[in-house]
Amino acid sequence: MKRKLVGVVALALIAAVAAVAQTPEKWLHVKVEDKNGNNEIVKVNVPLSLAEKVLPAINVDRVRGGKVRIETSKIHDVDFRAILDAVKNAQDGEFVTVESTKENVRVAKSGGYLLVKVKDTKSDGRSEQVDVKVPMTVVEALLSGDPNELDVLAALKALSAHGDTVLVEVTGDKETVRVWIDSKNTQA
Amino acid sequence: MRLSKGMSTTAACLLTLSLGTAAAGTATVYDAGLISVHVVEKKKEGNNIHVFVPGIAVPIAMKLAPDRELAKAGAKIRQHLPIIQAALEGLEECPDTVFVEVISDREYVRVEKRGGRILVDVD
Repeated sequence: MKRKLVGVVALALIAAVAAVAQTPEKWLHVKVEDKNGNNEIVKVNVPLSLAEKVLPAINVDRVRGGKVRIETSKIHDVDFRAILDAVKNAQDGEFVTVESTKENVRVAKSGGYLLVKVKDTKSDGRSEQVDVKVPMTVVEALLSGDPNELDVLAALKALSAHGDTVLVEVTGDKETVRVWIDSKNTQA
Repeated sequence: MRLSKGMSTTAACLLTLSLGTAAAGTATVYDAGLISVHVVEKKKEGNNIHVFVPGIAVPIAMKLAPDRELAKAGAKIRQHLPIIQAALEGLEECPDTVFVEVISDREYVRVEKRGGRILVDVD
């Protein structure tokens, strides 16, 4: 009986390892639909493995070995790296909420994702909504290097290991943008 | 026709040499590969041109280019070679797919990998 159990456990382990080894290739997709003027649709499909191969070969200016050197992570006096660090270690919850007549901003952490929602209302009544959803594993990988650098390669690898997800969605009156990851090499 | 022993040996040597040269030439051409250029004119009675150029023509053509210009281009491209090499290796391993597609009222652009080739379609 014991032998049988060990055999079953061993088989289950082999199956699990095989399943991980056969994780399908992940693709980054971008779709932009612009209804201004020429009614343009742009579709881009890139395998993450290609980006993982090319990125370490880029050694130009601040980009070295898949990492981006940043002089300062402060933009408009807001230290984004410090904020991301704080978010990384925080419990799920809403961190930033800005509500005004022109703009609504919400930054939160929920279910293993960093969520950013921005709704921008123009004076002529047109509006644009931006939704960003980044897996926390990717944020952590991005911050895994020195304080003065962003490890983009590690972030890409974390993204590859992550399941299918929509990363960015921009919905405007005349333009929509969608960036997502899945295992298909085409866009439906 | 009968050849004397000396003549037949010389003829055999020449034949072997010429066959050997032909074989070496063929081997060189295939070693360097073939560059295939396929142009399809998308209009009524448009041309369909398919040209195969032996890869060996590239280094020969390079010899004809001015050294100074080649040195300039070489210096410019050298720094990007690791990126190009990595991208080509990555592309080689990629399955067939459409990388970029642009559809609009005025134009259509498509960049894809199909059957080991990169196809660029611009309308």
